[in-house]
Order: sequence, then structure tokens, then C-alpha cells
Amino acid sequence: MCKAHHHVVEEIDLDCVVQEEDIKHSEQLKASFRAAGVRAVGLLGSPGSGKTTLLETLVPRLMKKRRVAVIEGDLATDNDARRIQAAGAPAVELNTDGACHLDASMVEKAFAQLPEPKPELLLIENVGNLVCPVDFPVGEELRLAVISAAEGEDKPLKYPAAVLRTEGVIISKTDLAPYVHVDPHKMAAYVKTMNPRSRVFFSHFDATGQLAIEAADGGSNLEDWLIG
Amino acid sequence: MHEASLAANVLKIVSRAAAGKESRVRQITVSVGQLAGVMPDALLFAFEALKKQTLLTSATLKLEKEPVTACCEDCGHEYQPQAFPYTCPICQSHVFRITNGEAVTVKRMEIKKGD
Ligand SMILES: Nc1nc2c(ncn2[C@@H]2O[C@H](COP(=O)(O)OP(=O)(O)OP(=O)(O)O)[C@@H](O)[C@H]2O)c(=O)[nH]1
Ligand SMILES: [Mg+2]
Ligand SMILES: [Zn+2]
Ligand SMILES: [Zn+2]
Ligand SMILES: [Zn+2]
Repeated sequence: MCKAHHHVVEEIDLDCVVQEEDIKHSEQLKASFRAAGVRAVGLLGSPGSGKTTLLETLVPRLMKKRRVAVIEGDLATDNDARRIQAAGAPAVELNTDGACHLDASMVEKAFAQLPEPKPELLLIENVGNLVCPVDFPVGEELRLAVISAAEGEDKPLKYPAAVLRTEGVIISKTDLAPYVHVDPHKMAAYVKTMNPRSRVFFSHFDATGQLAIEAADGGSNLEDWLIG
Repeated sequence: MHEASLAANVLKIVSRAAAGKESRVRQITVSVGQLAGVMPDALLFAFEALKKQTLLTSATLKLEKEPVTACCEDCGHEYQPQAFPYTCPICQSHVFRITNGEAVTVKRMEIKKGD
């Protein structure tokens, strides 16, 4: 039977990567960012993991050293872009109307909408989603996954692509760790075990309600690492 | 979650390759990397729904898992890591670069031969 099957069916090898166009587009975008002196950094993570809060804190600090702008990705609303504008930086909101991740063509269009002069440091907050944005680079030099302590201690292990396919992980909301029975240092250790080259940071609201950010791996602080 | 657009790309790649023989395409084999953010069931479902809008109505989708491979940054050996920490079997290094297991790839298709 197997023989007969081979007689009537011809097998053709294709070996075509399905996301190839997206990957190529991201490479092109990265090259054009580089040529224009723009360093793009991506933030990805579950809905509500604290991405915009982090940007609100980082933006004023980064603006002392670089011209900064932000592209915000959300299914709906321009709330996050308005939060960034309130923090002092130009921001464009990209509404994906249901799409679960940003892609390079969306980011290219949003970048064109940013006011002149264009930024030296472009921060791109992806749609809240810990799964698919890793599959769709959008011209970034660095990608950072934001995983909150409140999501549970084993999240790095459960979402290995978010740890293995990014350059850094922020374990956010460590102030909540005691309430959710999580040891943030264990989360940091998981990340380091999975991806020894990954940078790891902690962030939390301090007693005055300010966001405090610290390196969890003895390396440089987050701002310096982002600036490169 | 974006499996519909992936399925549409699979159909596009196969249609282009079949070039006129679309209705004779039978099994399409697609490998899904273990680090790709893809749900196999959703991809199959989207494929079945979307193929009806193409000439590939006799095609079926077979999914394979593509394991992760890592390249040791210290000695250059390529290996299939098992558990964390990824460890090079040759030099025991934990420093690596992922070389496979991130993509979704259309591997091959079967075309029924004409008489
Ligand atoms: N306790 C605590 N709450 C935090 C911290 N960081 C952010 N939050 C809160 O978490 C909620 C979500 O924060 P956002 O910064 O909007 O989260 P996001 O990741 O941008 O959310 P999406 O863009 O919707 O995916 C807000 O109510 C924040 O105030 C933190 O370090 N500690
Ligand atoms: Mg946000
Ligand atoms: Zn056979
Ligand atoms: Zn997606
Ligand atoms: Zn080695």
C-alpha cells in the first residue's frame, strides 16, 4: 500500500518559514532605524504586568540623556499613549482592533506619525500578551519581558519563549510578592538558569507609591542598559 | 492567537508552490517550533476554515513539533537541549544561542500525480 501511495503522490520539499515576511520586514525596519540613529527597545508581557507604569517612570529619566518617544500597542483605547504624554514624551497609540501582537508594518506607520525630530531611543510597548509578540519582532535592538510577581512564581518556566527569546526580564510588582506567596528571587533564578545571558531586574511600588527599579543580577541599572 | 494569519500564510506559500496544481495538493506538512507562540489546534482549525476560500480544498494539514536546538557559544557544538539549564554535552557550557525551534515552517507538500 505504501508503494502504491508513492506512485500517485509526488512529495515536494518546500522548507518555507511561515513568518518569513514578518521577520524580513522587522530586519528592514531595524536597518532603517539604525540608519536614522534610532535605537528601538521592545517591551512585552501579559496584560497589566506593569509595562506602562515602568515606561512612565523611565521616560523622564531617559529623557535627560536621550531624545525619547514611545509607541503604545493596545487592542483598544489610547490610555497608555496619554499616560506617556503626561510623563513628558511624544507617544503614538496603535490600536490593533483585536490583533494579539504588533507587527513591523504597524510600527513603521506609527513611527512615521511621531513628531520631528524623531527619537534617539524608541520604546515600543507591545499588546498585553506573553505568548505571541515574541514571534513578531518589530525592529528592536533589545526586547524586555515584563513578568509580574503576581502572575506566579513559575511563569518564566511556563513561558520559556518569553525568557529565551528576549534579552532581559523585569520581575515587576515585587511589593505584592508576600501576598501572592511568591519569592521574586526564585523567579530571577529561573530566568538566569533558563537564559544565563538575560539581564534581570526587579521593580516595585515603594512606601511613597513611587516605582523603584533595581538590577537583580548585579549588572548596570535599567536606564543605562536600555540606552546601550 | 494569530493562527489565522499563519494559516493564511501557509495556504499562500503552498498555492504559490503548487502553481496551477492547487486542486491536487494533498498533505501539507508544517513544523511548529517548540518556542513558537502557536497553538497547534488553533492552527489546524484556521487552516480548515480558510482552505475553503482557496483552490486547496483537498489539502490536509499535518503538524510536526520542531524541537529546540542550541549552538554552544563556547565550543560551537549544536545540540538538542533537554531540561534547564541547557548544557552543552561536549564542554558543559551553559552559554548558547537558539538555532532552531522558533519558527513555523512549511516542510513539504504532496501533489497527486495527473494521469
Ligand atoms: N503593587 C504594584 N502595582 C503595580 C506595579 N506596577 C504596576 N502596577 C499596577 O498594575 C496595574 C497595571 O499596570 P500597567 O502599567 O497599566 O500595566 P500594562 O502592562 O501596561 O497593561 P496593558 O498595557 O493593559 O497590558 C496598574 O493598576 C498599576 O498601578 C507595582 O510595581 N506594584
Ligand atoms: Mg500598558
Ligand atoms: Zn507511502
Ligand atoms: Zn499574535
Ligand atoms: Zn560546548
